[in-house]
Amino acid sequence: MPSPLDIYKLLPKTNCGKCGEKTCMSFAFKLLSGERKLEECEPLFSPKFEKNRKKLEEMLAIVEKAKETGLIVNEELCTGCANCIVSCPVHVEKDPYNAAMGRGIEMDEPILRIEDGVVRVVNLSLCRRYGKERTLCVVCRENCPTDAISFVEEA
Amino acid sequence: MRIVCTACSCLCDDIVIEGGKVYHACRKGYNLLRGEREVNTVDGEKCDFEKAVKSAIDVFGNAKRPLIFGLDNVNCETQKLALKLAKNSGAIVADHSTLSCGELIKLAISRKHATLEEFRDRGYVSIYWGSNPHNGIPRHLSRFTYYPRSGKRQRGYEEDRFLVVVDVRKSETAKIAEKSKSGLFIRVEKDSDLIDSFLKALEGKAGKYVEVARALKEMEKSDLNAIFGGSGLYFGLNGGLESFEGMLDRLADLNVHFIPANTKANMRGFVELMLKETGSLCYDFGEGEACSLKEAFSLCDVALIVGADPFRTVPWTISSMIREREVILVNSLKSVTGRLCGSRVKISPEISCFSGGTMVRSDGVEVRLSGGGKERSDEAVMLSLLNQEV
Repeated sequence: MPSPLDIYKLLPKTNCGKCGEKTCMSFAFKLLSGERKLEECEPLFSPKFEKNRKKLEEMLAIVEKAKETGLIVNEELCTGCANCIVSCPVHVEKDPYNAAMGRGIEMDEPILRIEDGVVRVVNLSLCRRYGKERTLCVVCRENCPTDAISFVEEA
Repeated sequence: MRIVCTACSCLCDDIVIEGGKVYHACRKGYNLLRGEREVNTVDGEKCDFEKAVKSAIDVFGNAKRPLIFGLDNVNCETQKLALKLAKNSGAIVADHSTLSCGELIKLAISRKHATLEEFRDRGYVSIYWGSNPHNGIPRHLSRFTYYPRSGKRQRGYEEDRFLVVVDVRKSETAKIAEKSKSGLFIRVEKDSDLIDSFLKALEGKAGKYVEVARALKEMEKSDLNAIFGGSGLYFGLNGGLESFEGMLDRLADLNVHFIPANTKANMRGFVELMLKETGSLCYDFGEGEACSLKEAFSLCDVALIVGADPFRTVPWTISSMIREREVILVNSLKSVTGRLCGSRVKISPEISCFSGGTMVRSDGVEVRLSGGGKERSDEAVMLSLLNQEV
């Protein structure tokens, strides 16, 4: 995952404000979290920055895969141990006799579910990192033994 | 359809197969259910199941010194038939237990210990000693030990569990223990030194590993703690379990139970059966005495491999001996052994998840398997070999 600084280095760094952000650094953060698109930076589309723009497009391709909470699952690293599912506070609250106890999740709209041997994001809108009341919950990532789960803004 | 997974000794009973997808199974379980299947062959030629079994009967019938190896991934019923076949034919019988967790399972059988469900409901300190469940038994932590909120342990890993990982390297499980406030990673060089540290700490003295004092302090908080011993423990102790057993006796006052963390689905079932029938883990029915795995592989002229992949799991110096023997391979999935050993006969039975019968989980609990379509199961193959008819 690219870091905000990696992105910033490739931006015009003029703080022109045309994108609506006060600084290019702020724009870099918002590009990473998916709140802004590359097209909103006008100077970047001039021939002078063509090389940088292409690099940025490659760099941000992974961000496109990220969901609204910025949760990314690397399925190649996941072994389906279900630590993330059992430790998720939403699962614990809504499925106390299955997911919370370590059994296969049975709730109607789980956030995560083990499907074909790896964890899949099923219903991200229930995640505590989502919506107006969101909290900075990192439980699923912290309990993943292979670092298969990451969040965009931490990269 | 709900099934019991037989990919490892967790024997997870909550696996759902629906609309072509497999739910709740870890990657190991998924690979067992959806991995590439072995093809029935005789001398390299594809054939049907019945012809392969018939050829196996002929090859096994002509054997002077047969070996039956594997069996720790098949159900108890197949294991019993295999032992009967070995008695009738004077074969040598062995599984992987002599190489890794057999002695640990023997130790657990000789002691009273909790079941994994009891530990899930009441257990506090889990010590994974020489075991990295992440690899061999992926759902062990989430189903039984560190993560579940169950019974008396409703606050789960946050406040109601304590994880200790003892290993020579920082394994994936060790990383979890190290970064958790309710966890501890002890990197050991010699297991005997750690045992010594435990014994000294019990007397209020400091040993080489001072971290054990914290583990003991945590143990005092609960009426149920457990050491889950894996193959690393067995290797670390160099086979001599006496000192470890002595430590367990001393830790009994702190309610510490010993439960093996073997990975093969039904190794405990095999060990229990072998101890009952022969008193050892590797037995030569031809000579009427126990033998080593190396002797087993070197003495045989025909090897019947059932539910195992010795080229992947047994040291090459031993397993490579069967390259010059006639091999009958009974395995549902493609394997390294199947690819490299030039088997005379390969039989691809039904996956053990659907074979019915029972398996014994690592904690000694019998688990009934799903299905019962015995027509093309391991059990059916063994029965045909025993009765010498398809």
